[in-house]
Amino acid sequence: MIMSMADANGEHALPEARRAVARKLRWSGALFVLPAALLLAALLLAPLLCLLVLSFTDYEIGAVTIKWLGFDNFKRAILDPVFRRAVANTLLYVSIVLPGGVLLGLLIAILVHGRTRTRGFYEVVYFLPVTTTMIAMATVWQFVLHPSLGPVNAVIKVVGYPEQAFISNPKLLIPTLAVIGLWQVIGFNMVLFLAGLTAIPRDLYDAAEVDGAGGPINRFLTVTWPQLAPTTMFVAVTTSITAFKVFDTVAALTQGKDGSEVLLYAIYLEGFQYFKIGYAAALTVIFLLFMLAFSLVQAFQLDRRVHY
Amino acid sequence: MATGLELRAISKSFGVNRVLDGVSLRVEPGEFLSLVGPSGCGKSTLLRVIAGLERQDRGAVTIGGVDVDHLGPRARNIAMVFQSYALYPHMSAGDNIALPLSVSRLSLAERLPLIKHLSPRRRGIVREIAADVRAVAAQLQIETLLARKPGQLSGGQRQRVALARAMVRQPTVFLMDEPLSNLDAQLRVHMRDELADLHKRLGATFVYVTHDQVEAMTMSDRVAMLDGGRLAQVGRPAELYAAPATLTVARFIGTPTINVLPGRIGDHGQVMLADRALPITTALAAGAPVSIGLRSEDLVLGSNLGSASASLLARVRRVEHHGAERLVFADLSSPTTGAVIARIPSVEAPFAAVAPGDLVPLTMRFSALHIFDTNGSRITASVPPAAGKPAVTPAMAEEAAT
Repeated sequence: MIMSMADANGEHALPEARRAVARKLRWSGALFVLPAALLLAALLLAPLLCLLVLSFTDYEIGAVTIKWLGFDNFKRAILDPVFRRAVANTLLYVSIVLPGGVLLGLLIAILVHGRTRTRGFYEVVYFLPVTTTMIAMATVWQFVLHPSLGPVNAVIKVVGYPEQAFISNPKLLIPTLAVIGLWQVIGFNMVLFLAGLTAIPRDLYDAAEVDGAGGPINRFLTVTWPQLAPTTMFVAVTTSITAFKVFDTVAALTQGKDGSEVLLYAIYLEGFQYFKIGYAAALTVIFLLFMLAFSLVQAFQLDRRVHY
Repeated sequence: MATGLELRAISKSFGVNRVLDGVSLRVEPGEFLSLVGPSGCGKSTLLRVIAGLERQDRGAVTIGGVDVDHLGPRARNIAMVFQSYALYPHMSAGDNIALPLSVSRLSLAERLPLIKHLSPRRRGIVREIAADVRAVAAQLQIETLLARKPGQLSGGQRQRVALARAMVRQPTVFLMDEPLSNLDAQLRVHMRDELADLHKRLGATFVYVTHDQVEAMTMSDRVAMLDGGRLAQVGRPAELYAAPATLTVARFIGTPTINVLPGRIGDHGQVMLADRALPITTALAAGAPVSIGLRSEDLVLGSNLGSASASLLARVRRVEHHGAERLVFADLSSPTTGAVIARIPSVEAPFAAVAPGDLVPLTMRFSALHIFDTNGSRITASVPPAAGKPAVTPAMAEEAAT
């Protein structure tokens, strides 16, 4: 800017001098970027690269030799019934937690937003599960869902149905874990949606009312839902990432028994119980590919409609 | 056909804060009425009460002679333009304008995604709505903008879209809440002109809220000024300017702000400025303190020191050039003290060279003085015929008149 002004005045129009300044600027710019670039490479890119390299080997912790396997680890994973079950379980889990977490979070946020004096109370209550550690709360869930001791089964029996083994029946296992996952994620989503709701200008609701779209359904469709679209997008992405990473409930409640393996738990078993680092790395790469694909679909599909 | 509206003793409190206190007001059919007042005076709340967005604690609102207190905003057949325009950001300008029609002409199912295509009659109605939208857009010259989202429009264009959305239902009463205050100064002047024109063309009743007295004075048939939740004065713009009912009205209406000097009532009922008796009498008791209001154009710059009994002496602090006229900011030094503003035409040759630091004589036009009591209410003051002219030398008076 300053350069071009000087040129216009015809004062310092020497091309060599100008190039020298540009060169200097480029170098000093690169110098400023360097520390951040190094940190980025060391902390984020290098580990990923390590992971990728390991996933093509048979490395085990403590092993003296290491062999290049090519895609063998991946082939094995695709044929491994345990891993396939883990993928299926994870997808089922996500398919319950993602829509449930978004819709229930939104519903509760709208209800809580309508409160005036009791709003703070409800916010705290719904947010409590977010602050608890799942490992500790798993004990409570284990008791609550216990076939003979738990209150849930007591109620089921009173109503006249046979008792249900929520944590050991393979059919109920993943849905049960998903409900627990929902229990924990809803409060967080509610807080995000509340922030979104608070940011909606009151004028828009007034305008909707004057325009005849003042009823609850019209108001939701005309103002609330479109205005919350960016928030919803964000909530959906964070919820799906959280859901894909389900681990602690499985580790605490089932230890992967009765066909309850999920992606992260399978990786944990291979890497930290059987020390098959190479194979675990390959599973992790697959896991990351899942996450990447999911995020890309959400970003490109929703992004177009979300921003105005 | 335009409808009038009437407010009867409207009161409204938010908690302990009384925002409106017994406001009664009639707006004639087809009238352009401005609600003005400083911020927090209750003007926006009053507009929202008329719209039905806010419920009054006491009093009644009738529109076109019909009691509307039990009706929601939609059923009152009013349209409202908001300061922020309140356009739905995810909809195109055309969809924004169409919304009031879509909501009233299509059922909920006919507006839902996917399901809407099941309705056989929908297509025809949508076509009618589109025609109505185009007609309104043509009136405001925004036909080419209909496909754009509000985010892609300039402030002035958004303003027009908001106006079109208000007009499309052909309401009989338009409520406007500071619609021009988000525009830049130049566009505001232009839109003022257009709004006044639109009012004339539509023949509808306009109730227009603004904190900008210039807008109120330039566009309205009548101006209602609110002060602390009460109506301070209702009247034609010229009335509010020439005969402000209270000191607040006097101070609010007119630029620059009216000069106010402290005075009191003398022994014979005449108004005293310091120890000097002005040839004005009131019915107030002797000794009562009063405020003397004097518009800047009624403070004449006079050079004839001492010859006129009511001339004041002032030290010029600053001179503002406004093209055709200049504003002289000065501090009075005799017979009383205080800051005043005098307005002089730039072409007035003898004073072309007035500069900061100069000691200049100023002369009051007695006929233009406004006297207010301690409550700020206007006091009728009578000026003896002889003193009706500015108390300056005949030569000076002639000069001021030309």
